[in-house]
Amino acid sequence: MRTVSFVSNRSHVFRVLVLLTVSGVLFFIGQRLLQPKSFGQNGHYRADSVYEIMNTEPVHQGRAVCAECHTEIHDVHQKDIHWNVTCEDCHGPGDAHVKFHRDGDAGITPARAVMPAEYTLEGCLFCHRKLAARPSTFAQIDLMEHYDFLHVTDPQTPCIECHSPHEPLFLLEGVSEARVHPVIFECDDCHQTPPEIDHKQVADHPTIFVCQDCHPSVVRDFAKHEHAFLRCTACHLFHRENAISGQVFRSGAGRFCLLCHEQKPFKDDGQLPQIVYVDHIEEMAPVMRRLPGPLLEDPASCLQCHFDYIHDGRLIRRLQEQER
Amino acid sequence: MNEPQHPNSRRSFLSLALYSTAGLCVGSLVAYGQTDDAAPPTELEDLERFDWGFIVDTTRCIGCGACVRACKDENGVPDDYFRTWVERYEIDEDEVVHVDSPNGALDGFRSDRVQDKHVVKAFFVPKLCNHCRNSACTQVCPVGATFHSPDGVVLVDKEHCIGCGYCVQACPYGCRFVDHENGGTADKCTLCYHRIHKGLQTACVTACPREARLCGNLKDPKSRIRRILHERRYSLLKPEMSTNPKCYYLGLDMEVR
Repeated sequence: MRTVSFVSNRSHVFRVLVLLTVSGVLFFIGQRLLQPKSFGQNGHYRADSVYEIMNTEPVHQGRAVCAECHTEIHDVHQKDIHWNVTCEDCHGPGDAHVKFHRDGDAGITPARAVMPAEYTLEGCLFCHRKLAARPSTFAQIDLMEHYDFLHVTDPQTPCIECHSPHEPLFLLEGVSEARVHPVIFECDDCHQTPPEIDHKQVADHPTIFVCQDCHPSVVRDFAKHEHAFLRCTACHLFHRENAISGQVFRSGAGRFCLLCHEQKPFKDDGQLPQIVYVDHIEEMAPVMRRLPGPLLEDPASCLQCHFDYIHDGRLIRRLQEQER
Repeated sequence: MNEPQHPNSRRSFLSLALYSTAGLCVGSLVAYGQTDDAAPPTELEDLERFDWGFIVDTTRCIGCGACVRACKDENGVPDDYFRTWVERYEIDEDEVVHVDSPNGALDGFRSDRVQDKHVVKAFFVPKLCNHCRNSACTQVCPVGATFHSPDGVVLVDKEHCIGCGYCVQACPYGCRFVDHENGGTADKCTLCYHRIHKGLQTACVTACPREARLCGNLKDPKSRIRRILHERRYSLLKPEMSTNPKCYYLGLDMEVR
C-alpha cells in the first residue's frame, strides 16, 4: 500500500486558508484606510460629525444681542404686547450685521451688514390677516374692511402709516394724538401691576380709547339708569375680531340677565331683584300678548320690557330698525 | 553549491508572498495608529446628559410662518425644500378635509382655501423632524451617514452621505429631502444642533411669536419641556408606525397625519 503524505494530500486546504487569511487582512487594512476617522467610536457613524455640526456658527443672534446696542428701541418694544415678536422676525437674521459692527469688518461689506429685511404691509399680515384657521382669540383683521372703516383708499398702504412699528398697539404720534388701540380697556392689559394713579394724571401717557369717545350720548344716558354702577365692558365685549377689530359684541340674551337675576338657593335674595324665570314668563306672557313657549326661547325676551333699566328706550328702537 | 535561483521558482514566489504579507501587516499597524489620536472635542458623557425633545402646541399656532423663514435663514435650506413647514387643515360642513401648505407657509397664508363652503373647523399644524427613537431613516442608511447622536438627535453626516435617497423614502413623515444645491446629500432638521449646545433655543422656537414651539432636554426632570408634558395632554404623529417620535403635539386633531 502506498502511503500518502498528510500535507501533500491536503495542500488545496492550505491554499484556501492562505487565500482567506490574505483577503481577510486585505479587507481589514482596506476598511481601516477607507473608513473615515472616528467611525464606529460611539456607534455606526462618524463620531466627529456630531462635533462638526455642533460647531457651526448661529445665524440668528437673539434679542439680547440686539439690545446691547439698540437698548432704547428694545425697551420700547418690550413694553408692547408684541414683545415676543423678536427683532429678527421682522428685520431678518443679524449675523452679518453683528459681526460687522462688533468685530470690525471681518470680510463683510457695509452693504451686507445692513439688516436684510424690513416688513411693511405683508409683514404684519403674516400674523394678523383674518383666516378661518387662526385661533379666534387672536387679533386679526380683514384688510379691506379695516381700510373701508378708516376711509383708506390705497390698498397698498402699510400698517406703519398709522401704527407705531415697534409698539403697534399705539398709533403713530400725530395721526390722532397717539391713542392706544381700542382693544385696550383695562390698565392691566398693558401694565403688569395695576397702576396706583389714573392715566390722565400721567404726563406722557398715551390717550386711551374709552367708550364715551365715540358713544358720548349712550354713556351719558347709561349713567342715569339703574345699572350705572356697571362698566360698559360688563355686557359689551371687544372680542369679535371678524369684522373690524374692536367691534362691540352685544350680550343682551336672557340667560345673561339671569346670571344675576335668577332666584337660586345659593344666592342671597336680599340684594338683587330675583325671579324664577319660567314663572315670570308665564305671568308676563298675557301682558306681552305672546305665547310663553316662544317667549322662553326668545334670546331678547328680557329686553322687551326691561330695556329702560339699561339704556334709553329709544336706543333699542333705533337698533331694531337698523337690524331690519 | 547553490544553484542560481530561477526567477519563477517556488522559492522566490514564497519569499515574495512573505514580504508582501509583512508589508501589509506594517501597513495595517500604521492605519491603526492613525485612528488613536482622534480625541473628541467634547466628552461622550457630556452629550449623554441630554435627550432632546420637541413640543408643538397646535392650539397656539397662528400660521404666520415665522418658524419657516427663520429655519431657512438659519440653516440655508434651499428654495422649495423645508426642514420645518406649517400645514393648514380646513374641515368644511360636508366633513371634507382640505389640507394645504402653500410654499411651506414661507410667505404665510394669503387667503382661506375653502371659500364657497362653511368651514366648521380649521387649524394650523407645524411639522418638523420627529427625531424618532426608532427611526426608519437611520435604519435604512447603507453607509451609516445618518444616525442618532448620543443626545438623541437624528443627524446627517454630510461628509459621508452618498445621496442615495433611501432615508427620504423611509421617513413616514416626509421630513427629509436631498439637497441638490449643496452637494446632493440628504438634509433634514438638526433641531438646530449648533444652537441648542450653545444654550440657545432652536431658530424656529426663537422666531415663534406665540410660543407654540419648545425644544428641551427630556432627561432633565426640571426642564420646561418635562413640566409641560406632565401638565398637558399630548399625542404623537402616526403612532401606528411605532417610530416612537420625540416631537409631542399638544391639541392635535385626529385628522392630522
